Amino acid sequence: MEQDEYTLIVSRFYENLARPFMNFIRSKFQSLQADEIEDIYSQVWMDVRENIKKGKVEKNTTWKSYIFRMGMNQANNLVSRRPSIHSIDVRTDDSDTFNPIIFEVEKKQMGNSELTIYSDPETQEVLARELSCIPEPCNSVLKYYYYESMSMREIAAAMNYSGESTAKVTKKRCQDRLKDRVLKVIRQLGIID
Amino acid sequence: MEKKELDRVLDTLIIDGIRKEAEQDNADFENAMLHISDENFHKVVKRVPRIKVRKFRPWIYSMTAAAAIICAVIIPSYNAMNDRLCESALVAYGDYITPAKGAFDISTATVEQIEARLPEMEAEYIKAISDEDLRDTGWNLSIAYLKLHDKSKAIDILKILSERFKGTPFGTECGNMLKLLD
Repeated sequence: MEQDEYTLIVSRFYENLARPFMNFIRSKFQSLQADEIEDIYSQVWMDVRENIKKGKVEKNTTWKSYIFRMGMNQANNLVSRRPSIHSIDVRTDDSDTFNPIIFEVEKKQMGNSELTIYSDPETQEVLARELSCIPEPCNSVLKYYYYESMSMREIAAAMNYSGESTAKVTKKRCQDRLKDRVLKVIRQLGIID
Repeated sequence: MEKKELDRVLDTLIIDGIRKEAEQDNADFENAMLHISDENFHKVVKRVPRIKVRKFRPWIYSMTAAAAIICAVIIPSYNAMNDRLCESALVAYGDYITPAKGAFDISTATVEQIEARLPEMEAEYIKAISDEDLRDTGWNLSIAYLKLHDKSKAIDILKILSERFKGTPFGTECGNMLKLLD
C-alpha cells in the first residue's frame, strides 16, 4: 500500500469520527468549549498513533470505541482540574450492549445446522454487496453497536439523538431495512421461495 | 423455511457481515496508522506536536537518589513553618527543577518573574491534555507556588499529580513532596 492510500484511510477515519466524537464528549462534559473538545480530539489521535507505533495496544482493539474512551478520560482529566467542577464517572454503561461472545456461539450453532441459505455463496455475495452501501446513519449505528460494542446510550450521545430509545429504534429500523433488501434480492435470485 | 427461522438466519448473516466489514476497516485503519508518514499524519490531524515546556532529567527515576535527598530534608524540616517547608521542598527537589533549553527557567526565576508569569503557567496547566503536558506544566506550577510560599496551592496541584500518576516514579515523587509539605 502507498502513502497516499494510508493518508486517505486515516483522513477518512479522522473526518468521519470527528462529529460523533464532539457529540459524545459534549453530552458528558457540557462545560467544555468546542475548541477544547477539538484539542482533545487531536490529542487523542496523537496518542493513538503513538500507542500503535509503540505496540502499546491490545490485539483486536476496536478503534472507534477506543478513541471515544480515550477522549472521555482526557476530558475528565481536564474538567477535574478546574475549580468547583466535579469530574464525572467515565466508566462506560454496559447495559444494553451487544455481546459478541454469545453471538459467536449462536453463529457456530447455526453454521452446524442444515440451513443451506446460511452457507450459500450467492447469499453471501448479495449480503456483501448490500453491506458495502449501507447509508448513514445506519452504517455508523450498526457498526457502533455490533462491532464497537457501544451501548445504546453511547450511540445516542455520538449520533446526537435525544436518548437511547431513539438509538434503539434507529438501529432496529436500519437492520430491518437491510434485511428486507437482502431478502428481496435472494428471492429474486430464487435462492429461497 | 418458517418466517421466524428465516428472520433469525438473516439477522445472524447480517450481523456477522457487519462485524466482518467493520473488522476489515479496523485492521486497515490500524495498518494505515502504523505506516503513514509523520508529515502526512500531521497534515490529517492539522496539528504539530506541542513544544514541551520542560523535560525531566532521566535520573529523576532513580528512586534511591530521590529517597536519599528526601530523607536528608524531610526529617529536619518536618515541623517547620509553611515558608520553611516550601523552601525545604525546593531544596530537596532543586536538582529536579530543570528547564528545557529556551523555556522559562523556574529554577533561577525571581519571585517577581514568577508572579508575572504565574497566570500564563496556570493557563498552561489547565489547558494541558496529554499526560506529558500535564506532568510538565503541573510540576512547574507547583514549584512556582512553592517559590511564592503558597503551600496550599502547591499541595492541591501535587495531590492531583500524585493521584493521576499513581504507580509511576513521577507520581511517587509528587507523593513524597506532599509528605514533605504536610
